Amino acid sequence: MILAGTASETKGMVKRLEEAADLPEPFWERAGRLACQLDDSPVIPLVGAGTSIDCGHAKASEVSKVMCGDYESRHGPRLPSDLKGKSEDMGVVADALFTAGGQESVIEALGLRDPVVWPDQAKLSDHFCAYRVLARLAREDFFSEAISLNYDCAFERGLDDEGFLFAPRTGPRGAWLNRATVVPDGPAHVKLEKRGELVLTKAHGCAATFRRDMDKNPDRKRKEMIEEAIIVRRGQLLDWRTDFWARDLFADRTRRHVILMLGISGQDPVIHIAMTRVLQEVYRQLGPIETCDEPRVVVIDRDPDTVALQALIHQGAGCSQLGPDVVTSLKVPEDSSMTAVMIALATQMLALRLKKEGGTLVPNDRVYRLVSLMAAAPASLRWAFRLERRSRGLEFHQRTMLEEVGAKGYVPLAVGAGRAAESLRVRDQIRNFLELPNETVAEAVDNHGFIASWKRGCAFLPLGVTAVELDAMPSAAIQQVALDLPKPKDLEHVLVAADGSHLIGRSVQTGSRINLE
Amino acid sequence: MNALHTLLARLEDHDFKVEKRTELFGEPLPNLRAIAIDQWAHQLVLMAEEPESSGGDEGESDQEWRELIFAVAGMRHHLRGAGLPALGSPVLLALVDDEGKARLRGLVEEIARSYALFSRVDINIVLRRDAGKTEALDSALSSLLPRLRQTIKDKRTVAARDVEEFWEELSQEIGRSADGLAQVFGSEIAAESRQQIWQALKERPDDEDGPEGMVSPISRIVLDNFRSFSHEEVKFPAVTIVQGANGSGKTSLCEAMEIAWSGRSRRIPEGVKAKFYEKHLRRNGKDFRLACDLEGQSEPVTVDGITDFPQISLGRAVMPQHAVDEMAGSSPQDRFRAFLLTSGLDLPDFEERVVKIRKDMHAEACAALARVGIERIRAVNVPGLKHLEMSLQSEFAAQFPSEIEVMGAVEALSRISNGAFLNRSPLRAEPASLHALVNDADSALSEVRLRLDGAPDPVPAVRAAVEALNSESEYLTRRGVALQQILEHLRVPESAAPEQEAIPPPAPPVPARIAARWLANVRGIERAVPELEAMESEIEDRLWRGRLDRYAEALRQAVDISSAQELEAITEAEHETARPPAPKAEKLPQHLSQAAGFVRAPDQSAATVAAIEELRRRMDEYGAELGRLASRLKSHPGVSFSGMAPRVLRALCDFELAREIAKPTGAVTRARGTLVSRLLDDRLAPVVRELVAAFTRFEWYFEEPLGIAVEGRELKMYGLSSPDPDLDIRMLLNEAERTVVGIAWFLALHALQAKEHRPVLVLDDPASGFDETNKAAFVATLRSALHLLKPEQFLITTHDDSLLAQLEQEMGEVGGWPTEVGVLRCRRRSDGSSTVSKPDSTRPPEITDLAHELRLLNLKEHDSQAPA
Repeated sequence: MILAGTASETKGMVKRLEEAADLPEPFWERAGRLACQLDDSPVIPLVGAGTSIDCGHAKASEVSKVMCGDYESRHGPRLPSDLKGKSEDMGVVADALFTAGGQESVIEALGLRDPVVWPDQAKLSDHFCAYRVLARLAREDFFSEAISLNYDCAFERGLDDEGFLFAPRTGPRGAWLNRATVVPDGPAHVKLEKRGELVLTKAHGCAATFRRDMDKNPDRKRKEMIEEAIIVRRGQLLDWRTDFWARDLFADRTRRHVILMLGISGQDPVIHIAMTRVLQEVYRQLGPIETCDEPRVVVIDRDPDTVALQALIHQGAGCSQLGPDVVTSLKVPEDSSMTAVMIALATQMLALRLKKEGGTLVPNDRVYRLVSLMAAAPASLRWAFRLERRSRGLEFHQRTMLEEVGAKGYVPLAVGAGRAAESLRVRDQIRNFLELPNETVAEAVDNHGFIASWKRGCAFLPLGVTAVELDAMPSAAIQQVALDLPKPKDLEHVLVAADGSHLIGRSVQTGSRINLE
Repeated sequence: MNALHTLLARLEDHDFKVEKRTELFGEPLPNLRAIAIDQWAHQLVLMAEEPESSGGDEGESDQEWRELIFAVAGMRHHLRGAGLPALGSPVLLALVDDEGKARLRGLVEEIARSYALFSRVDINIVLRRDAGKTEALDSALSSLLPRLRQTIKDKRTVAARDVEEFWEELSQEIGRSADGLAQVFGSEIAAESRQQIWQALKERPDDEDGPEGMVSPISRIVLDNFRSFSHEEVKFPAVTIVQGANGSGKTSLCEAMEIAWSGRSRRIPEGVKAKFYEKHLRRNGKDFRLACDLEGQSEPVTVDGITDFPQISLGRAVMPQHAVDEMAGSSPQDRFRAFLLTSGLDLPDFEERVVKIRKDMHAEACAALARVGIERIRAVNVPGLKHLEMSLQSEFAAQFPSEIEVMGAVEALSRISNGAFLNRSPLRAEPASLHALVNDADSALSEVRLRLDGAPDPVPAVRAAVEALNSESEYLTRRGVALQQILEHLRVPESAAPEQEAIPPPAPPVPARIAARWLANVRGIERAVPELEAMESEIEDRLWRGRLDRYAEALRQAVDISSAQELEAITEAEHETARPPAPKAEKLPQHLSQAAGFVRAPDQSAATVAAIEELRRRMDEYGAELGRLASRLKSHPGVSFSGMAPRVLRALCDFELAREIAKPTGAVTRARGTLVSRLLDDRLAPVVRELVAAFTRFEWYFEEPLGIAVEGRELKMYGLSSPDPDLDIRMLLNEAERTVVGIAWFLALHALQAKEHRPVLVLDDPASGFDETNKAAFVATLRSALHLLKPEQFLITTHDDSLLAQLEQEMGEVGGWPTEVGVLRCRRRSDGSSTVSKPDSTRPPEITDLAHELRLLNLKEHDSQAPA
């Protein structure tokens, strides 16, 4: 249930980046260590309600109260005995509703049929930035599968914002590069053949898919099956028979991945039991270890110290002692947000990756690092990616999809680590030339990665290409790309490359070569 | 006062808030002297000046200008907050001298080669020497639209009420035409005609809607089976930007609004009837229906058909695509006509009425002339007069008797009679010939007819001619009678002699007594002969001896062969009838000879007699001819004309006046020309010129200002790319340039209306052919103009994404206008029908923050009430 209208919760990317910048240095250092841990491991994020709540989604207790109100309006004020004092426990309230009116009444009370209460991804506002960070990490190939326990479409919206396209669950293989596949229920999971860069499994169902499927199926029996795919009741949560696909999924993924638990309480019995059993099994097979340097469960949460989570973390560490620099959880500070923490982690992961791939040192200053990796370099790469036409050698459908992605969203730094590093170097050179102070987050985001100088009447964007490559770019192509990509307003846009110590520019508007000396 | 102060004072005159500054955002800028904010259109203006006696090198000066230009170009970026920019693209006024102008121009051209400079800043050069001249200064400030401001402030209009001026002017022009005709017809008749024509022209059908019917904003329209729309409901905010591909239904939407307002579409081609056009509006042949919520109407207005009646006011509210090129791209004549129709200065059926009046008057004049025997008339002008004169002359010449033959006969007789026969005739004294006489009479008529000055009555001239012809005829008759008598006189002996010679009489038996007397006569003759011979010189008849001899011989023969009774009978008859020739010749009366035209009595020779006979015959014919001519002349049109003259003259005068005012150089054209010239010079042309300059960033694009002049029925436009006024812009400018002129015309005409007449402005894809610089100038100028005009509803369509982006950026609410801005997208569904929808966007609506921008500029927020 989206209650994300509250102003305090509605924050755009700039605010979240600023929150990340405000995180203390030790936190950044800790995030850096966690990044090192996760860098070489197969990671799978397990996303819970906490992530959405952090962005403005209503808490389960609030949703539960609404459902309780619905129960009273339907069946009178007399609550069943087991509901008394448990109006904030959604599973219990749902059970009571189910007893009184079946799964249909649960769905009704949850408001899943209402696209205003549970909007489709296109209708969601863009402040669910945590999912954008996740989408970026997916684009950077830090993980290729994610599991969400949320019905909302905020993850999909984040994927969409960062340029993912959605692939069908069936169809020719290999044709769905740079696409995400959403698995909303058991049957979809069973039939799934991976056809994209990312598979997002919505283990508890999906509000939008539910509505769509319900509209398609007048058959009552089929409707009931669809309704049952939405996991909300305690009974459903406990029902291993109907959720065996989820059990298997968790068991399988836990066996092979590091589980990054994002805003998840760990109280879901299916998850908890499945993970615990599998982790025990794994460490039993591996044999006892004295010190764990690669924990298999990592938690990012406002309160990672709950018993359930600590138990999972403990199991993930093989019930052994943790190494001195090992990080198993990031606790979201009171004055910050989960998104900010995820941004900090993502920045550190990117810095590490870029350092490896490009061999270049990324800025030490955490703010400048944040600006460079989360705002500036992606913008430069996006322009360079569109203009460079690296996809020429690919198959037609792949080329087409890459063009689409470049036009739409985030280009992974990993695709052109060298370019990214070069663009950051030239960026410094431009700022020195313009005698500008360090860039702020707001400046970088508002200017879409360009370096704006009102006294020069121009906004400069280093592409990370050579001067010769920049010169060779056709003006028409530049202008065509400029139509798609965002730019700072009311300025001339100049793409910049360095020729040694000289800076060479190309005006986006006129295509003319501009000497910046 | 130096030039800068004059410039600042002028801006203050135009309600700009001026503040002297040498820095912006706390940073000093070279050459900057002051900034100004337009309180109406929220336009930011920067004034810069190169020091007059800088003495520095040019390179340094160029660098300073360069820095300033770039800073101004980036200023708006620095000013704007998170939302839309509140202040328009900055205008830089560079105050320079001629040398500085050349240098600055060169510098800007150089910068513009690499940068899209003009899309972010409007650079205007103001010459120092122009600062003291208000007109020149305002021209230099074109992009700030000073004349449009003044026009709105002064509430100047070009409206249908100017038609009253036209009527006054027309009345005077008709008076002048009538004065010209008074020289031909007389002042009284001309004055009556003037009255008559004026009444006919002034009569016009009552029109409740009026040519300037009002349009009011449409908040919602429902289109059913209209063109590509099956069923669509469209809601319009105050400012609507409609975007869509070609053929997606944008123009149809505009047309639907037009029809909803007026029941009429301007897309109907000329000459096509509304009923036929209506078929083209129906989707799949189904009847269309438009229902719209009009401001001020409690119930939705429903329209399901169109009419032929043109709604003039829409010409200044809705600009369809084809109208963009109507002014600049059409011929001067079409341009003039389009201007009259669009501006409401032309009554819809005025031309037709003028033509009808001319036809009616022509018919009346022809009818009047037919009554006096003249078949038809084309015009009472010089060629018309010649035509009539020639036709009359040829008519008479064909009927005129041949005098030559008579003359020949007279000559022959005169010769034979040794000059005894005189060629006398009263008509020959003066003028010299009968031709001349008839011609004179005819000329008198012709003159009266053709010049119609009313002075001489044609009847006396005709009468004189008839009299003269009659007297000639009588004279000829008299002379002919005399000749006949003479002929008879001369013919007796002549006729006898040949009979005797030809058929000798049979010898009758002669009685002795008679024979004896005849013989005595013979002897008497024989005795008399010597006496006669003695006095022979006195006898006129030279043949007397022969005659006497023949007579004596005949008597002798008769005596020999005749009986006594026969001789007696012959003697008695001879006694009674026969006369001796000599005594008869002597008796030829003198008056008879004179009457016949002989000085002395003619001789009796055969030749003379033959000549007299011939003359007599021809004179008979000639006399008869003259008689006929006289009688024709009596029934000559001029005679009947005498009675009909006033009516004919009046009809001719009416016709001529109607023709005069209707012709291309006539009173209507002159009156319109005078009115249009006055409206152009006073109000319209300066605004059009200014808008063209603003739309084209004039300083950098064209050398010459747009020239507008009216000549007859032509609206001439010249200049811009050539100073030659004989060259028309439609053949000088390309399509985009002509579009600029077209839009300027349309906007000027729209602006020059009373505010209550311009609540709505619709532009259908006006800037499709513009490049980025032109688009920027178009949007910036449109923004300023709209803030000055503040229409209640503004709708613009475009297929161009970049133009859409610019419009979205510039059309934000500033100073209370517009109240609401929205983008609509037209597209085709899979079934081919069009649909209009709001674009899918989750962006929060962007708003302008004027206070924020003013705060950054260290300026206080001002009262943004535009005088409009």
